[in-house]
This record gives sequence, structure tokens and C-alpha cells, in this order.
Amino acid sequence: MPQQGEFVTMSSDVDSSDQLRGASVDEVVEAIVTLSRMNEAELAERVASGKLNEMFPFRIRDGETPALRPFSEVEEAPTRALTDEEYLRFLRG
Amino acid sequence: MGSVPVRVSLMRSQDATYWHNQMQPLIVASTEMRADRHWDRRLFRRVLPLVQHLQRRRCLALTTVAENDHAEAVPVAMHLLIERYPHLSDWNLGATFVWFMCAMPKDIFTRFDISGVPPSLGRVCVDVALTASHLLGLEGRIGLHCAPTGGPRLMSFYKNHCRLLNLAEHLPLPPFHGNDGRFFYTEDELTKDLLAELEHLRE
Repeated sequence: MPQQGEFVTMSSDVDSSDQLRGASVDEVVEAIVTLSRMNEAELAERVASGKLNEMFPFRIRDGETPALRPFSEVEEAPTRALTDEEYLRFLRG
Repeated sequence: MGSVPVRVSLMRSQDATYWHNQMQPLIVASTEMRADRHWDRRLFRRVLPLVQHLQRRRCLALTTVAENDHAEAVPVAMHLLIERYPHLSDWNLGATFVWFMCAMPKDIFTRFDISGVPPSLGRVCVDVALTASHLLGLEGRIGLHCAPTGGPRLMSFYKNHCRLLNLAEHLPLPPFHGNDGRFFYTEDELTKDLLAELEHLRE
């Protein structure tokens, strides 16, 4: 399970035997930049047709399914816009 | 079946992983026509906000959780909202764009020991977007594109159940590609009505 502040760990599927290699930073950056140049509806269509993996061919390694947390501990989303600092923290996961 | 408490929180990566591992296989196995059959919420949570960040836009991922019989928070809906986007019907105004949203199929609630069901989780999803827009100072204006993979049922849901306005197919769109007639939006009076409709469910 990713820890707070830890960027996602990715690796590429390179063949059908599920052998993995680490993705280079360049590959990940390129994929994200390519996605960012598509309009939202077009990207949504790619996602819906299961083609996002063609454009972002990396697998997220996130380990086991996390346990459910107590309902009483769920913090509601702020009823205001996040500050820049809060948003950056959110981006990091 | 009674009502069930729900809360909306910022989506954690763990929520996305939980959904991917626990819900998604059930959605894939379902015979129901759903737009989210191929979605990977883990990518939604971690990658798509970064994609918007490069466009200098903020993209908020939210999770709606419901309390089950063991007082646990089960993710029952996931939302990915672009906070400020050109309003579909008036580009000079800002609106919250609902990029992705999905709800747990009602028929699997009991698998997660949820004994009650909200009136309509899909309608709650729309309400979350309206509320977010309202809280961001955008007066509840939202826009969304109805995924073709959702079929006529999803179009009907937005149009008839949620009463969203369908942007006429001949009208141009802001930075989108062509208008395929599947874009929906809200206007001021409608927004007020829709928010008021679920007022009795807010704490």
C-alpha cells in the first residue's frame, strides 16, 4: 500500500510472461504529457473503451487490498476550495 | 430497507485500490451496461489530476462512503471533478466539469454488509458535483459528457432522472472536440432545484 508522500511505483508490462522492468522517468513523463494534450472528452472515451493502458502502459504496484476504515474516522471533504498546500498534498496521494 | 449514512471525503489512494480490487471485478462480471467497465480508479486518483495540473487546472477526486453493519466506511461512489472549466453553455463562465463518476451497483450492497440504500447513488453523484461547484463559488454550474459506453440508459438517466440540460448538438464547445450531442449542463434555477431536492438528506 502506498504510504503518504510516496509517489506511485510503476513498472511496465513488457511481455506476456508478466516479467516486469522498471519504467524510466522519461517514459512516465512522456505518457503524462501526452495525456495532458488530449481534451477531456476524448480521453474519457479512450478510458471507457479500455484504451488508457495503451497510452499509459504502466502498472501501479499497490500491494494488498487496504482494510476498510471506521466510518466515524472518515473526514469529510472541506466545504471550501483546498489551499495550494493542501492540493499539492492531495496530488501526492 | 432503511437509509444508510454516507459521507463524502477526499479520495485516498487506498480508496481507489480498494475499489479496484473489490468492486471492479464485480462490475466487470455484471451484465449491466456500464460506462465504467474498463476504468482503473487508481490511475484516476494518481495520474489524471497530474494531467490536469499540466493544464494549470485542479482536479479533485472524491469518494462517497457508506456505513455498513460493522460501522466501516465502504466506498460506494467515486468522483473525479475538474474544479473550474469553461461552462458548456457560456464560455465566459466557470463550471465544475464532471470528468468521471460512478456508483456501486445496488445489487452488490449486501455483499459489503450495507443494509440500507440511498435513494439513488447516481443522483447523489450529481449532487456531489453540484455541491462542489457551489462551494467553489461557481453557483452549482456543472458540465459533463455522457459516455457512449453507458448506452441510452445513461443518457436517459441524466436527462430524465437528474433533469440535466442536454446541450444542443449544433452548439460549439469550448476546448472539446466535436459536440456529439451527449453533453449535459445545469443553469442557475435548475441547480437550485436540484440541490434543494436532496436537502433533506444533508446533516
